Formats: sequence, structure tokens, C-alpha cells
Amino acid sequence: MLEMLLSIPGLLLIVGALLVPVLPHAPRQAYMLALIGVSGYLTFGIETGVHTTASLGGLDLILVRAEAMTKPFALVFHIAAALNVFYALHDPNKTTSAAGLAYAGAAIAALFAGDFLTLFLYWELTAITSVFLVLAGTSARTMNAAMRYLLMQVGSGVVLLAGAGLLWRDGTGLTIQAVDALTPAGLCLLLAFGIKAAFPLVNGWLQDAYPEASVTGTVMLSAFTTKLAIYMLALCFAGFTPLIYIGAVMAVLPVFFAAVENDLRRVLAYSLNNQLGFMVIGIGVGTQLALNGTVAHAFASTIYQGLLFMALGAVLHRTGTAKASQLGALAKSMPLTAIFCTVGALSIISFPLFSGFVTKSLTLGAVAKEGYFFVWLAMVFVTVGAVQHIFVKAVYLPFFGPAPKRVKAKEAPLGMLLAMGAAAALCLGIGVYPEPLYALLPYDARYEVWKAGYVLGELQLLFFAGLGFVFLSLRGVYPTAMDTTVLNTDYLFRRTLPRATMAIAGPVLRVWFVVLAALKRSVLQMLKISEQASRESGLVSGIASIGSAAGIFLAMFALMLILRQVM
Amino acid sequence: MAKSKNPKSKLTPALGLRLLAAVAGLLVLAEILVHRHAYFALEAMPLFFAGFGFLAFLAIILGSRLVAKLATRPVDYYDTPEGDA
Repeated sequence: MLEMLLSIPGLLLIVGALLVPVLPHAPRQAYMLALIGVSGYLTFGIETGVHTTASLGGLDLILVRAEAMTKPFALVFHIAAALNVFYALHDPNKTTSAAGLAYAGAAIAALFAGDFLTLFLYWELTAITSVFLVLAGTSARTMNAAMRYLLMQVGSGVVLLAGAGLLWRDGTGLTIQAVDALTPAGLCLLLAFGIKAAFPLVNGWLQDAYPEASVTGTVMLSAFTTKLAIYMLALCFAGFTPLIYIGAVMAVLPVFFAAVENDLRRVLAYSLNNQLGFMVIGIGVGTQLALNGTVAHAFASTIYQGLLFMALGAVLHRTGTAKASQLGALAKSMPLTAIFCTVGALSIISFPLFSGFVTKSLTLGAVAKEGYFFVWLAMVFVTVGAVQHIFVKAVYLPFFGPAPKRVKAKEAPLGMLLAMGAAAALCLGIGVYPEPLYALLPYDARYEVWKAGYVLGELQLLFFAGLGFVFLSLRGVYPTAMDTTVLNTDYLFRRTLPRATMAIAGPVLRVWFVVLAALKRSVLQMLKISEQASRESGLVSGIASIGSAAGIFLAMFALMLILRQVM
Repeated sequence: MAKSKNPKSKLTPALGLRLLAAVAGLLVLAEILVHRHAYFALEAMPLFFAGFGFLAFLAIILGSRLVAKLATRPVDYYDTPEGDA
């Protein structure tokens, strides 16, 4: 039992999470960190290859298998899990702690799943555990958002199972490997992964649910689900060209929505979505350099995106709001948070010497090398987008911009500062010295990011984007943040689908009511006729026996009862 | 999206502005000394990234106006059973 617990990565965290709710606060935090440490240590030692198999009713399952790209994902998942514990040091919510730990465990276990059935199990476990993080939110919308979230997540699992079933029927076997996307099974798997990777049209759940979770819950959510989906896409669909364009749309569209959105945690959810777009482009290009780019970017973005969610979560925790229209000049009261958040922002806009620059550039270089001009241009455009919605909107204006009204705030609690400090150090560390991260990447392909010309181009891009902001603000036309609801693709199932259902159900119901009314009238008519017929001078008087007359009335009574039921 | 008509509502302090302008100026000058290797013809154009960064920022704000016009609703839109439709 113990051996199995230790041999399946992530299982230790899933099972260990059961003990979390019964422990008092301080030992609980230490216990969780210890579990993550042990799990990380054991996981990091796993070499590439198949390790644990099992047989279930004639199906051969591969419980533990490591690919070349498993290690970097597993490592960053452990880092994120540990940072989350620090970040939530102040939070007494046991449900969030337990669910967060089991969620991390499920995501880690899923990385090592070698067949689609095992993957399905952990895939659904990530859905079920993570919904508690959304439910821990405090807003009035939490419950509904959580249910919509669960529907999409579990739905993705069901489609995954369908894909696995189709693969099995075709005799291809359940092993996770490159899949032909243009088969029914392939399409199912692509959709299942696509939902969790927030592809266009199925991305609504991300911006809908993540910002409704609790301060700590959102940070935990931001790390795992989407990156797990990226990992699976990379394993199964590397080089599937349409992904390049899906990724490009994913990267570009959120830029405009993030520009309008007022809730800064929702802005981050859009930004998370467009970072995923970059990774999907890399998977679509599918060269060794592009896949290295995707993996490196997933690694770095898990940390800097988490850092940004942490910093704005800290703002929400201290001020009670994360709305751009209500925040300003926070750097005075939360200086450390401001510094860490700025590091996160410099990373995401891929400023040289920060982690985004040394990772995103690999994908960008791969796209340029393969000659996809418009995709490359879109990616450069998206970087400017990040300057706008992250650097200016989510960091510069709330922390250093003018304050709309006096916001009283204290610096973030110690645990939060520790987590943010560590994340910021990693962002800077990877940016300055990326070699250890490069050594973890699945392929040997390299891209020289430190060429003077390349760095110069990047700096020009970023500084002139900044000048664009200055130009607009000096002319007084830089838009002020306003409190609105921005319609997103979750509109499809919050409005379009219910309306479509009612549009179909309405006429059907109307016809049904007409039929019912007619039936009712005919029964009454029959009663009237039979009443007349049974009178002394009536048709049936004296002809039928009492027994058959009773039979006729009994049958009519039964019919009435049935009609009453359906009405 | 409402324009801020008040010219005093400057979002950038004067010092930061001068610094930004100075660095931007240096980056333009650096182009003379540093060769940028380009994959695409457009990219090889002098000051391509500077121009693109500036214009893309304006384009994003312009595009976001469209999103603001077409896709924003009152903040309690989803809280009412059928919204404003």
C-alpha cells in the first residue's frame, strides 16, 4: 500500500489531502509542505519510460509513465503547489487547503498517466477537487459560476472518455501517444483537451469561474488545469497545423476583451487565455524548437501568471476590491506587493532578463523559422497587448497611478509576501540564467535569445508600446476603467442555449396544451353522452347489464385519471 | 467607453515620462549601431518594432472601443433572469 502510494506521483498528495481537514492550522501547513516536498523529491527521480502497469478487466493500464516533457511540468506543478501553501498561510479555510492539495496531486498524477483511461480518472478528479476552490469564493455569483465550471470540466472528461472508447474500438489501444486528429476519436480528444485549454468558443468557463473563486482559490486554479491540457495536446497533437491558427485566435482575441474588463482578476484570466494561445501555436508548429518553447513557456507562465494572480489577490484581500476603477497609488501602502507584481508584469511582457523573454522567444523564433508571417505578427501584437492589459492596466495604474479615492490598505500578510517573493525570484532567476530550465526541456533545439539585435527589437517594441500609452493619456483619450459586464463565450450557455431551448420548447408546449385541452373536452363530452344514455329513457338503459355499464364507466374513469396525471 | 475629457487627468508623472522618452530615444539611436537579424522583409525595415509597438498599442485601444460598444452590458446583466434582451 505504502509502496503504491509512493510509486504513483501525485497519489501521495491526493491521499494525504484526506488528513488535511482534521489537522490544526500550523501543523496542517507544515504537513502539506512536507507532503509536497516528498512528492517532488520522488517525482523528480523518475526516468523516462514505463514504470507501473496494471490490468483491469482485460484492459492494460499504464499507471506511471514519463515522457521527455513530463519532468518540467511535474516540477513546476510541485513548485506551484508549494507556493500555494505559503500564499494561503493566513487562510484558515480547510476545504480550500485540502481541495487544493488533492487538485495538485490529481494534476501531477495525470501527467504520468500512460493511457487514456487512467488519464480520464485524474482528469475528472482535477474537475471535482477544483470546483471546491471556486465554491470557496464569497461573491453571490459563486455558486452558479461553480456549477457552470463543473459542467464544462466534467463534460470535457466525458468527451475524453468517448474518445478513449473510440480508440479502443478501433483497436489502436489506450496508450497516450500521437493521435490522428481527423478521426472521430482524435476529434473527441482534441475537444476534451481544447475545453480545458480554453480554446476559442469553449473558453468562457475560464473567465467566468476563476475570478469568482476565493483569493487563494484563484491562485491554485491558475496553475494546473490549463497547463495539464497543454501538456496533453503536446503529447497527442504536436504538429497538427490547425492548432497554429486556433492558438493565434486564442492569443489575439482576449487582448481586446482584457482591455475593456474592469475586474483585474478577470483581466488576468483573459491574459492566461492568451498565454495558452502562444503554447497552442507552438504545439501546432510542432518542431523541436517550438515544442521546447511551449514547455518552457508553460513552465515560466505558471509561475508569473500565478505571481500576478497572487499580487492582485493580495490587493483584493487587503482592499476588498480588485476593480481597476477603484484602485490607484497602492505602491505607497503595499510596496513589496507592488515590486513583486511589477516583476510578474515584466515577465509576462517578455522584458529582457525576465522569464517570459527567455521562454516565449523560443516559440516566436520557431514560428519565424517556419515562415508563418501572420502568426508571428499576431504574436508580436499580443506582446503589446500584454503591455496594455497587464503592465499598464493591472500593475502600473493600480499600484502607481492616480487614486480614484483614498484606498486604505496594509501590506500583504507574510505568507503571501513569501510566496510572491519566491515566485518573483524564480521569474528573475529564469530570466537571467535560463540554462537549468533549458536543460529540462524535451529536445536539444536551442534559440539564441541574447543576440543584441533581437534584444534591441524587443526593447523597442515594449518602450514604444509604453509611448503609445503616454501619447493616449496625454491626449486624454486613454479609456477609463468602467464597471460593466463584458460578454464572452460563456454567453453561449448562459443566454443562447437557454433561449434556443425555450424557442424549441415553447411551440412544442403550446401544441401539447392544445392537445390536452381537446382531450379534456372530449372526455367531458363522453361523460355527458353516457349520462344521457343511461337515463331511464336513454339509449343504454335496460339493454346493457349492470356489469358492463360499470365496466364502461370504470374504463372512462381510468382514462380521466391518466389524463389528470399528464396534465 | 467614456473618454476622459479632463486634460489634467494625466496618468503619467512628468519624470517617468522624460525617462521613458529618453530611453526610447536611445533605443532608436542604437538601431544605427546594432544589426537586427530579420526573418521577414517587413521586420527588416528600420525601426519596425518601434513603429509596430506604438501603432499596435493604439490599435488595441481602438479595437477595445469596438468591444466596449458591442459586448458590454450593465454590471448586473447576468443577475437578472433574462438580462436586457
